[in-house]
Amino acid sequence: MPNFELLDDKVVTIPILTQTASGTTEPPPAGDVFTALSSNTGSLNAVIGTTAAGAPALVLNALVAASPGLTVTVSDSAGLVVATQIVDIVDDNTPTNVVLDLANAVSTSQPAPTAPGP
Amino acid sequence: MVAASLGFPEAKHLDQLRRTHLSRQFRAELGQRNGRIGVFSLISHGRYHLRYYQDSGYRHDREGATERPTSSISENWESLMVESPANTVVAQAMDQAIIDSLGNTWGITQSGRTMVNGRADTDPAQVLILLYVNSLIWRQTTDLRWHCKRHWSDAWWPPGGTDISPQSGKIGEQTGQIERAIGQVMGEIIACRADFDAYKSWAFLAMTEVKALVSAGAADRVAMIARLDEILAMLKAQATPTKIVLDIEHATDAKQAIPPAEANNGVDGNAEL
Repeated sequence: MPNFELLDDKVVTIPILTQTASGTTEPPPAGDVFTALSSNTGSLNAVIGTTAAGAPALVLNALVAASPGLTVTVSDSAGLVVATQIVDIVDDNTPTNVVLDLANAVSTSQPAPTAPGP
Repeated sequence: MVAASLGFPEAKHLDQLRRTHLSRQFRAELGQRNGRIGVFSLISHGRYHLRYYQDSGYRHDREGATERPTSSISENWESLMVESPANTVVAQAMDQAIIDSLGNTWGITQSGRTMVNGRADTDPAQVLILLYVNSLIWRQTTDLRWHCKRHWSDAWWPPGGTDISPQSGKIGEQTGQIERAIGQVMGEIIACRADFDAYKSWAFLAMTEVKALVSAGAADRVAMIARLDEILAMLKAQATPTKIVLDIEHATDAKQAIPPAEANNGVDGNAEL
């Protein structure tokens, strides 16, 4: 199972499913209560929430900018086999806005303009 | 009705006989011989107690005899054990009973237990009412759930009970023909030990298919088999999940309200040329 990359500026909601031994997805037993556990609560926040449709979900968000190899475990009150997922918190490198790198600006000479400002 | 057809003085006497053998802790059966109606009460192996009714009331005929009551009844007596009509209801406070198709008498003890042939059921569940539907004894317990059995030695089924009244003819959300099926449930039970409430779907199958399915331990657990117009309807139980899975493919994200602390690589402030 590949690691899940959690961008440090996102809150991710992952639906929780329950499956039979044959892999058929079935609703969780009535009254089942899920629990989420982060391997490093200082870096990765993991709680149980719901999807937009109201289904149980794992909700993750980063507490640090980057931290690889974290683990989140989802268990339940019915004693089903737990789900374990390795999470890598990564810096979100997706460009979102334009900035001017003034610190690295270079200048060259030009004749001074004669027109008064502005 | 039977008493009247035999010229028995009053039908209420038959009810009195029923009440009498209900109060006893042994198997009893009504029968008639030579125009008389009697009660056979099996006391123990090979010994029985016989009472018969004359116009004016009870009279002991034999007690402690060594004849086998079953053969005696079959050879010399005509059984009068009258099966209760469908939908017969017995409540705890009622001095009445249900007689099933096998002649067993069902009632409710003063303490609220099911009583069969005068003997309290081993199941301690508190019973509100008993209901006789399609040769099945249904009980409603104080948690308002229904359980049924055919033979007194059977376990009550389903184990957790169901909140669907057998009289309503409904199973959960199912409608139409399935409503009729419940009215004929258990004409022949193939398998019915799954969790009744956790049903998933119905399928209509031939008998041989159902047997093959059950004997093969099919993935679809069978909750119940119902007979519907000579067609068997199989109620599939919902499979029990065994593991938790994270559906990462359908994960959604949103902007985090408070970004984690990180170095500010951006450049801000005014640049002076």
